[in-house]
Amino acid sequence: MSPTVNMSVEIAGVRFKNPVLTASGTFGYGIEFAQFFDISLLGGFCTKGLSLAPMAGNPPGRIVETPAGMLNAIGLENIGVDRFILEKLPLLEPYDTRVIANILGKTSEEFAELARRLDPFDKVSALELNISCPNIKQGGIHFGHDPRMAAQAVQAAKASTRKPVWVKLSPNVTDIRIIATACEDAGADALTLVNTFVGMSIDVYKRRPMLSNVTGGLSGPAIRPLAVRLVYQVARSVQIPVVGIGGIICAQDALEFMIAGARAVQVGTANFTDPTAALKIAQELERHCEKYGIRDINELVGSLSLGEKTPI
Amino acid sequence: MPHLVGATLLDNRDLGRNNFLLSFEAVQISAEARPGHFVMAAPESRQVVPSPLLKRALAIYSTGDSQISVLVKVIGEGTARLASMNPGQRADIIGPLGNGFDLEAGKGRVNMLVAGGVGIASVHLLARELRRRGEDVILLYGGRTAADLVLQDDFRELGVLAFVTTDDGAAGVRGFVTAALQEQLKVYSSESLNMYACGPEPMLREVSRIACSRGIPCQVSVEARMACGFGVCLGCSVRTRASYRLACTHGPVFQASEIVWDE
Repeated sequence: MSPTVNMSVEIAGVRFKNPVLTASGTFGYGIEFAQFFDISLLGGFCTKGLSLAPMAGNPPGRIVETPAGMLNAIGLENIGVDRFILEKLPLLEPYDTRVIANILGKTSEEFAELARRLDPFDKVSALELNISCPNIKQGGIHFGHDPRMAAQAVQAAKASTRKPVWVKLSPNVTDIRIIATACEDAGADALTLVNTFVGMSIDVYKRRPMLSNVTGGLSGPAIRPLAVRLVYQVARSVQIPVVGIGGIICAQDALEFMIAGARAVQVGTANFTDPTAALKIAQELERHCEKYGIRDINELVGSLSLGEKTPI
Repeated sequence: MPHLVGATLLDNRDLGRNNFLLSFEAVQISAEARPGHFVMAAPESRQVVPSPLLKRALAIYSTGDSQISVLVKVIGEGTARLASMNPGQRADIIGPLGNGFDLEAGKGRVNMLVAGGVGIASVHLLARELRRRGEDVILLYGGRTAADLVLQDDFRELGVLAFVTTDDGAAGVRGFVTAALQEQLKVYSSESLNMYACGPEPMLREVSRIACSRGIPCQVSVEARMACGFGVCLGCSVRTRASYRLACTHGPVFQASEIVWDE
């Protein structure tokens, strides 16, 4: 990274070499991308959501492409936290990038236990609580919809780890600020937003849903304006850092989120179409700063100027 | 190990019935591709958000001279954009991907390749490599009409004995390719055969059923919607006896006996 621009950002005492991370569920366990580029050049990445026991996921018919995006209903397929610790974490040691473990519990106790198991490992820089997966009936989403339950999950995780606890929020709520504030009050160190929007796609010839789960989570550029607005709303209502996510495909998109108030961003669906997307975005972002005389990327965070416009 | 490359289109051959054979210059992929491998491909786009967004999975039809070729059948927007490419234009390609066929399984046996429609693309490299090893290869190739049976001459040139079927009987035997398979099973004993299959799911299901009921080893190459092609989106799950497996990294080739088919 260029010495003339400070690209590093800090979230809850953890320094990231740049604000470009990758989103849980789009970056595997990190290693898969090391075959395409040096993942040490990323600020960090979020692992596939980890549960206590391995999960098989949903039956086939898990994804479908939609305009400027895709719907997925993977169903949280993952190898489980213990295998992650045994098999994946050691492989990540050589890489100088931050690992954020995304964890998913069906109960507060499970969130606590997941946090406890990951706590001893220095390679994990923070935990991200997935309280917002739209694709499983049991667990996950009810935490994301109920401020009291969200707070309980946060408290449970916080009590079980010294690591910063981030919370990944669902956009599928009436007022995301209520959940955001509840998480902050419960001790969350940062908020990631947003997870996917619930959507649906139909095969008109068979008159059947395209996804086995009927509904799925919409991601990709299609959701970006929706996500930017939610980041803007939340960043104005909480004191803790916000990490922005939603359809980021180029540096311009990352800039939108940062100017709206995000301290860092996560690249998601773009990793599928171009495995080097996040790296390109980090590099473009730095070039943007150089070109426009921005000495420190942090200057951009929440720098939105409303002029005469009335804030929402 | 897969490579992400910008590949120049060298040739786009219109084979009729919306089938196009595209040849790209792709040195590393050409050198490393094995029978049964595939690529993810999309034309290079000046748009920040290309439409469609995702690459398309395509079997590697042939390799050599630093090139790869892929068979594209126009189904929707993604395949239409690929098929409309002109020589000199570039595509973003990730490959080679997938596990590939096990070529040892048919050593000393008659290798029966069963292909339906564009499934032909997956078995051409396989036929070439098996012939290079001096193995006997028979192709059973089914299409809707005679014009759908593209590229069959390439197999005859390899010294493959080819039998075709069409829905209307205009070429070869009338009926599905599985009918031709039943005919061949009157000629060859189950013990003398090894099978490979690629095609639409109902065909694969029937071929698998026949092979498993006779104890003939059979590998099938499956198709599934996928976003990435390299094992991270987890979209392309295939139901197997043990668990869900991914078509992109665990497959696309599976033992017929492993797969649990939808009824």
